[in-house]
Amino acid sequence: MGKHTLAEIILAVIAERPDAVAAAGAPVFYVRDGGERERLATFLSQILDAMAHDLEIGVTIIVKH
Amino acid sequence: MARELWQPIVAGLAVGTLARLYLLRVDYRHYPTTPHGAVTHVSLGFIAAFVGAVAVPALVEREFTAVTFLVLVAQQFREVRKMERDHLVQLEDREPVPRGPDYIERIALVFEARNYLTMFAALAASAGTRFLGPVPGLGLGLAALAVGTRLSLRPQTVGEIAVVRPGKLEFNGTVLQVEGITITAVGRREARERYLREGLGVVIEPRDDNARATLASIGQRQAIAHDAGAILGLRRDVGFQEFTPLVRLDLDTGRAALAIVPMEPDREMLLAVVRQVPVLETARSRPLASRWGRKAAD
Repeated sequence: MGKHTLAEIILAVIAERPDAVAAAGAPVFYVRDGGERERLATFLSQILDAMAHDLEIGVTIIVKH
Repeated sequence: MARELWQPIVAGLAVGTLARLYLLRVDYRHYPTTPHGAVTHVSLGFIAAFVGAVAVPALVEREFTAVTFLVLVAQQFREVRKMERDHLVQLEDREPVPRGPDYIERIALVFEARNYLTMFAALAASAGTRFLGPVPGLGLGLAALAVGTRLSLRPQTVGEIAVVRPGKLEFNGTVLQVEGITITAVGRREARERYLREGLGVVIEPRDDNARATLASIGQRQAIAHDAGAILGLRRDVGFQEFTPLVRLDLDTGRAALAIVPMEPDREMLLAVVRQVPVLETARSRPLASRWGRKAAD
């Protein structure tokens, strides 16, 4: 209780469009297409035990809840 | 030793220990741990019963200091609550679906209260035996136990304050919804497909404004998610946070909705589990008991 964790923080960004994200804070992974984005989302969400959220502009973020 | 001294003590001790055993048995849903946990509680229950049983005969013998032992034991019971709380908080990090502080507090409180019930049952039995004889004494002790049981073992449940019915899981884009109630955004296609294939949705409709306020408690909803996951099993492991069951509110109507991907995809059992989740005492809210709440409701 009262512990500091990385919850509710964007841990990583996976983007198909370089123009949609500015690199700041979280690491950004650029991918070629939706398939790559899905695969990377799977890897990163499992490695970080976090959740992938598709922002529906070709960008997925990984957030721990 | 004189008969009128040991008879009440034995009667109180027997009834009290039985009371603790009986009340412990029902705890297992909340507290699925070891024989050792049970040993601890039965031992403490025995001590509680002993103090309860000795109090009246001691007073009759004009040993007024005996009363101070009751105070001492009450102190011990508070330790019991702390012990249970610490234990569950320790495990919380490793729970796939945390119980949440509200549920833990409730469980700890129940453990403490059941020790008092044990003591009162012992007290009633021993006082009854001392003044009325063994048979009425035992009767009195069991009656006290029955009252305590009603009090402690029949908590209000979610099924009593709300209508629990199946709800359809669907996706609006990547947003998981149960009958239009937003649960969360699921980013991976594979996860969405699994939700549609194996997921179950439940809608919890409060019966009145009191129930609506109770369901709005985050702790109460966490308790529902925990029990559903703990009893039906989860398709979730470390690394699959997206399959954590969630209960979210419909802000327009106050309905709550649960989305879960259970190990046992048994819709009826899921509904039954949600219905039997206790209403947490800390979450219970009664806005209708106030003049302003009633006015606001109409």
